[in-house]
Formats: sequence, structure tokens, C-alpha cells
Amino acid sequence: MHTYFLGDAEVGSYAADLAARLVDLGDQAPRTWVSLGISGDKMTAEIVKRVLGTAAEPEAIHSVAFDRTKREAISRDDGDLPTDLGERSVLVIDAAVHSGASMRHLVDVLNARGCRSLLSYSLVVKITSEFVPCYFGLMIGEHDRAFFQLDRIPNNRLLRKAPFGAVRMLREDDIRREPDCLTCGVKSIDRMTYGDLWYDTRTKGSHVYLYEIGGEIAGYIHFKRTPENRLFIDLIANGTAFQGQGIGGVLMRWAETYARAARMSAIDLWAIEARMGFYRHHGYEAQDGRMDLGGEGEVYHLMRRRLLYNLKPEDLHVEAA
Amino acid sequence: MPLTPTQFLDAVARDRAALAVGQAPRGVFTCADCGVPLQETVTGNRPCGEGIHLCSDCYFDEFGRELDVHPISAFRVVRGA
Repeated sequence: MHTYFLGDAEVGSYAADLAARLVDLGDQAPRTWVSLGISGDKMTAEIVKRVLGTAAEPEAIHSVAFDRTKREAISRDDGDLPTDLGERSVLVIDAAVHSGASMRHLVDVLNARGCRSLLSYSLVVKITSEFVPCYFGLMIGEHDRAFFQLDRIPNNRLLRKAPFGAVRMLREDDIRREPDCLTCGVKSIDRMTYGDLWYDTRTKGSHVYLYEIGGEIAGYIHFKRTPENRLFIDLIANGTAFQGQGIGGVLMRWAETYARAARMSAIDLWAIEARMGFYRHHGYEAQDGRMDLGGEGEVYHLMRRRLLYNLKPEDLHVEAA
Repeated sequence: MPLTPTQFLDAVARDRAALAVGQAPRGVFTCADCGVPLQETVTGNRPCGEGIHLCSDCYFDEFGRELDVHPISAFRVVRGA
């Protein structure tokens, strides 16, 4: 996974190149521009500054956003996109095209409204995007990230408030710890020794990461990589003494970060039947898979969260305009 | 109404100023929990159904609270044959 950092100078240079190409188009340069999202606005501003007073200066700029949850374009300025573009030529600008769904959806809308010629641009495009703009600056890999024009570049972060601890792999000497297991009030976990977990990592290729605070094991997560290239979580817990500290969230976040960095396509987990609503609310979808651990009356369902931008276009199910 | 280039540049400057002080420009979702304007590469933006969006910090805080009460315990070790 690569991370690209584009500062003002780099973005300005890309914008200058596009502006020059628009000027070169002369009469063919689109005079109606549509900017997609707040990052698209930042890129559009860089370009429009460089065409002011030239033949490529736009007559009108529409600022729109794409609501992925509703799968619709929404206006960010005071009006909607024109319903009839009257065979106008349009330039669509975004800063980063990831899955390509947003730009593709917007282009569908514009074509349906009579757009005669549609020029598109994005500063960054992922190689797996379903939509490829006419002009683009930087092509990046499916799992790569690009930051541009940020005053602060966000670090990865696992927890935002104390008490802080460290995430680390289970080690062989952990099997000699006293006590030799976590106490969380769930029998199956309270019986699970660190030796059991170590044995599984050595024989099944699974991964166990602990969250350690002040030398004590506060919680852990057990997962493995499936043959289908998904990260599968079947155990995550924290000790009774460490409740209320967000440790489960730390471990989930690490698992997701790990899965993205390892180029996995999704996270699978076993959700307690009565808690499926929580996982559904947080982006997980129920799959075919049910496990009845009868002894303790627990029924688990397999649920999956696809990792954004690792999606294949055919999985997006975005309605055309 | 569409914007002229000058109006557009003014609007972008206003949006950037608003974001700098933690306010959400028009069309930008805010975290339903902490209210931060959601910028995907900076804060994360996680749709959570029913029009709710969370920043990634609040999203994983909710997991912390959930897993305190309902850990996932579907793993069993079987040693030997």
C-alpha cells in the first residue's frame, strides 16, 4: 500500500497543465462546469483560477455532491443541475475517483439531460475505478491512498483517549502468564488459555493481537485470512477489569487497518444472533452461515463488511439515472 | 443557480474557512455523534443506515461499547486429531 502526498505546488502544476489544455481547445472548451464534492471544489478552484480571462473561462459552475447512501447527486449551491442542458458541452471535475461510482452516476445524469460533449477530470484515479476520466493526474493502485492540499495529514490512530496501551502479537512467553487467560464473564472465553491461542497461531496460521495496558492483557482479537482473501474474526474480547475503555473498538480498528493494508476484500465475523442489528447498522451484511454453539445457548450468524474501494464495480449496485 | 467563476471561488474560500473552524459547509455530512464535518480522507465517513453518518473515531467507539457487553466468542480450539 502506498500513500501519496500532493501539496499545493504539485496540485497547482497539475491544474496549470489542464488549464492550458482547456485554453488550447478554444471554442471546444466546455463553458459549463460541474464540480463534484468538496474536494472536487478545491480542485475546480485551482483550475478556474488559471483560466480566468481566457477563452476557456466557464460561464457557469455547478457544485454538486454525491450521497452514496441514497445514491443520488445533490446540489451544493442554490439550485439543481439544469434539467435540460440544451446540447451544451460540460466539464466534470473531481479530485479523487476511487470506485468511480460517483462520477459515473453524475455523467449518467448529465447525459440524460442532453449533454452533447462531456469532458471529465480527476486529480487522482484508482486503477480499479469503473469510470476513467478523459484527463487525470495521478493513477494509483486499488489499495493506495492519496492526500492533497492538507494542512494536517492524518495519522492512523487506534484510540483517542487514555488510558493508552499497545497492540502487539501474542508471544510464546504469554503462555506462561498468570493468570493464563482473560476474564470477561463469557465461559468459552474465560476457559480459553493463551496457550490455546498460541497453539492455534502455530498450527492454523491464525493471528492473535493483544491490547496490553501497563503489562496486563486487557483484551485480544483472533482472526485469520480466508482463502477468499477476507479477514475472518471469530474471537474478540476484553477483560472485565478493562470495560468502558473502548478496547474492543481498538482491536476492531486494528483488524480493519490490517485487512486494508494486506489488500483483503472484506471483513467477516460471527455476530451473535440477538446483536445482528448492531452489525447491520455498522455496515455488515448477513451471509449464508449460521453456527449453533448449543452448550451456551449462543447462535452466531456470519456477517460481512466489504472494505470500501476494494469493491468490484459489479458489487456496487448503483442505479443509473 | 449556477455560480460564476468569481462566486465559485468565494464559495470555496468560505467552505475552507468553515471547515477550518469545524463547521460543515452545505452538502457536507457531519458525524451524528461528535458533529465533526466528515471529510473522507481526514475524519473517515461511515454511513450507518437511516441517513446517519459517523466519523471513524465514533464508529469504533461504538464497537468498544458493544464488545464490552457482547464479545465475539465463536472460536474453539481442538487440540490433536
